[in-house]
Amino acid sequence: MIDNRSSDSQLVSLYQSGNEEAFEMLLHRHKSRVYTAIYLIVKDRYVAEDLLQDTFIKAVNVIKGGRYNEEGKFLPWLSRIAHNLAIDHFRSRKRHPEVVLEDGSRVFDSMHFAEESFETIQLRQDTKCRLRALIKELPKEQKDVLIMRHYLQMSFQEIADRTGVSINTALGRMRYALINLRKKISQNNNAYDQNIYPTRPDEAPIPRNLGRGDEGD
Amino acid sequence: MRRLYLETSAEETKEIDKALLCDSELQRYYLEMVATKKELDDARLEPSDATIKNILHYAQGLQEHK
Repeated sequence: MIDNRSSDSQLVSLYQSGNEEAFEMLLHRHKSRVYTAIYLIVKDRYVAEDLLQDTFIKAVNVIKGGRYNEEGKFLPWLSRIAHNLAIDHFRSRKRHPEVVLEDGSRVFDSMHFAEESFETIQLRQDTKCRLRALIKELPKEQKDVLIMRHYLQMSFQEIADRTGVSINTALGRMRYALINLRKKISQNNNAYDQNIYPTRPDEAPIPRNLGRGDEGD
Repeated sequence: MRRLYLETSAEETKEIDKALLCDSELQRYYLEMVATKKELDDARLEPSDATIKNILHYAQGLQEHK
């Protein structure tokens, strides 16, 4: 019987035997963390969605192809797939940059027709969004370690091996990442209440009655 | 950091927890890190339903073709 207490290893075995519900549980268990990690690397929600699909499709192909042999280390294995795909994409995008806004949406996505009040839209730009923005502002080495440890659940030793540094360096980078985030969160909390309205024009919704009402529908 | 992410041995955990009990400054620092870690969890994003459906369809499609 499958339930939340089933280990990843058990679920993989069940899926290998043909139990689709087991795969669905694995997917739901890990989708958020892996998606967040990919997004923080590629900084584009649409790309992150595609790469999440690619990650799980690769995992499915390996498992169903009888080539899975990670023996109880499903998440680290999945994380490596996700991380490799995200890094590869990030590197290729550096050669062909696209315009992406701070929240990971594309330029034209910001030109939405407002159905809701301005205040509601503002409220949606909440603590979570600000925190993700703060993570993206961290120095690269700190951000990378934070993403790999916290979201991809890689061990500090694995992170050290992957990034070519000592475990103490990896630990130090993580420590500074958390310290810096803590500082930024405190500064942000002090400043936020004074800024109810956005300062960037591309964050302002376009009222529905501007131009032809059916444009963009 | 290793204690925060549960990478310490039972012995190490015991030693660290003892130190945390005795050192209020260290405890304060550790609790701040715990709070930050919690906020990182809260900052997680969810992929769209469409993406999840696509993955499940693919996984089930392979199953059907077997």
